[in-house]
Formats: sequence, structure tokens, C-alpha cells
Amino acid sequence: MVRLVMVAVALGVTACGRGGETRGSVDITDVYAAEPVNDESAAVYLDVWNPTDAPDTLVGATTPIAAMAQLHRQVGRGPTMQMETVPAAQVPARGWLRLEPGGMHLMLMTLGPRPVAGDTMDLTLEFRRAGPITVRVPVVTYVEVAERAAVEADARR
Amino acid sequence: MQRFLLSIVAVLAVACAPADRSDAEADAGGNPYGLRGRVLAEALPMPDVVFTDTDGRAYDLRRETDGYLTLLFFGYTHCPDVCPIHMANIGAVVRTLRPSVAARIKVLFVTTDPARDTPERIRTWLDNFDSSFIGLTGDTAAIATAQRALWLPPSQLGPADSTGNYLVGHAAAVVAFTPDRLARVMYPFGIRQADWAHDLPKLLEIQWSGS
Repeated sequence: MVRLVMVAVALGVTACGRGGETRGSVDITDVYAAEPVNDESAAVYLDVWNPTDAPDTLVGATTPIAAMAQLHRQVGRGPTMQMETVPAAQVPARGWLRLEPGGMHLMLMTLGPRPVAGDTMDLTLEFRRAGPITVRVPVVTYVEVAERAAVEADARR
Repeated sequence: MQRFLLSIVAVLAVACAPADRSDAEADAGGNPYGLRGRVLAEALPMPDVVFTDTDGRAYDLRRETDGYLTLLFFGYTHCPDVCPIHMANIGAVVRTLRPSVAARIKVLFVTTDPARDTPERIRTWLDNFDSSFIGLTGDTAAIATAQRALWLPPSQLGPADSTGNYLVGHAAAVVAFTPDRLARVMYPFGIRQADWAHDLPKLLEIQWSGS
């Protein structure tokens, strides 16, 4: 209940402070897709920075190259890697949502023409407040996916 | 010649400074061999299981891996994230090793999704990473037996989505067996190419005390 009130307050502040503007905005960084290794799916990784005082929510994604996109996240911690599909992911106020190898990621399902490393594709992310945001996604090999994840992990250490 | 000199220097340095800081740290972490993977407190024997390889032939784990450094991973080809990253990392590193070292390494991928992973599908998938990787399948009981023998959690099928697709939970670690067919080291998800490049030659050289 406390949390709900705080969200309401935050929304109010944003609405007033921006002269009635109710849309938020988010920045998408470090976006890349893994070159698919089967005909059904491709993983997309990205970071979302929410500079506003109100949380936002990633509620969907579309791309011309796939029939559908799912959000996957790892269930619990421990020796087993179990992923599950989730309908949405929150981007905290003044915080990050990170989609990264071994954690949450976007799964593009049932691919059209299979993208290969070096290609780029359009991806439209749908946020509850910020609305749709389209980004260009470079496709890289899994070898590069692994190295990028390592570099990002080092940078945050 | 230069290499030879360097070796002597390295040996001297170790001899003169037995309390080398990195060694001390390694000892404190229960890893006297300086490996990046997690050394098992107790070595575990290669599971006594016969799988089927991607050519449809019987593959007796114990017989086929005798004398090789064996990396064993349980996963599935619909796996979006963890499995291809492990396989890509290992493939990238094995290709950088001296051929004489690479020839002593076998990489085994055992499917945790035998219903969908046909031998042909496993072969196609593995060829994305390295055509030398060995793909194995078997009945659910055989796969569970192998996991249990290594104290790995059993793989579990998740619920199917609207398209009939499902995810499979499975152990995230790669198990490394030394040429004596004993599992000695686990490599959790997050292990990097630099770690594999560091450890693989060492795993072939270390004189393990006890078993």
C-alpha cells in the first residue's frame, strides 16, 4: 500500500513538474542480439535507464524478424538454471533494468529470415509510460555476447 | 631460448618466494592448483552410462573418455542463453590451444530435452560452436542417472507456452574430468574465455594429490 501511494505521488510530481506532460522517457543502451543458433529463437540483451522519478514498465517488444517476443528471467539462484516467461519488467525510478546473459533477456520467437552476425534489426520496445521506443540492434556471435557480458560485469564491479 | 629462460626465472621466483601472494590467496580459497573453476572437495567418477551420439552410435562415457580431459555439459538446443554461451566460449578457446593440447580434450553435450533434441538437431546446433563437440542423447532415466552421479540437480521441463514451446531447467555448470576420468572441477555460468584459456592446459598438467 505504501508503495502504491509513493508511485501515485511520484506520478503527480512528474505531471506537475513537466507542465502536464505525463509521458516519461527512458534510455536504451548496450543493446545487442545473439546470432541465432536454431531456427526458432534469438536472445536480445539491453539496458534501460530510467532518468525520471517514476518507475516505468517494459511491457512488450516487436520486431519485423520475429513472430513474437517473450521476456525470460532466471528463477531463483542456485545450481540450476531455470528460466521462466514473465509478462513485464519494471524499470525503477532513477534506476536500471538490465537484460543480460544468464539473467533476464528478450527472446524473439519463431524467426523469419534468420539474422546473422553483422546484421542489424529494428526492435520496438513498449513501455507503459514512455511508450514505444525503436532501437537498432546489432547481431553478434555468442562468443561476442559472452565477452560483452564480461566487460559489462567488470565495468560495474 | 627466450622461453626457456623465462621458465627458469619463473621456477626460481616460485622457489624463492613460497609465500607468493597469489598462491596464498588460492590456498585460502581451497584451490591449491590456482584454477579459475571450483575444485570439488571430492573427485567424482565418470558416470557409468551409455548414451547415443549424433551418428546414432552407442557412446559409453567411461570407455570413450579414458585418457582425455573431458568437459561435460547438460543442456538443450532450444536453450536461449546459458547453453550457447558456454558452448561458444569453450569452442572459441579450444581453437586457440596448441593442436597437441586440443587433441587431448573432448567436449560432451548431453541433451536434457531428448523429446525435441534429435541427434540431427543436436549435431546442427553443436556445429555452430565446434564440429568436434560430441552430442549425446539417451532416455530420461539415463540422463537422470548421469546427473545424479555428478550430484547435479535433475533437469526439469517447464510449462509449455501458447505455441507449445517450453523451457528446461538444468545445471548451469560445466563439469571437467581429468584424463583419469574423475570429475575434479566445476565451471559455473559466468566463467569466461580467459578462464578457460587459463585452466584447460593446467587441467592436463596438474598432478592431483589423492582422488
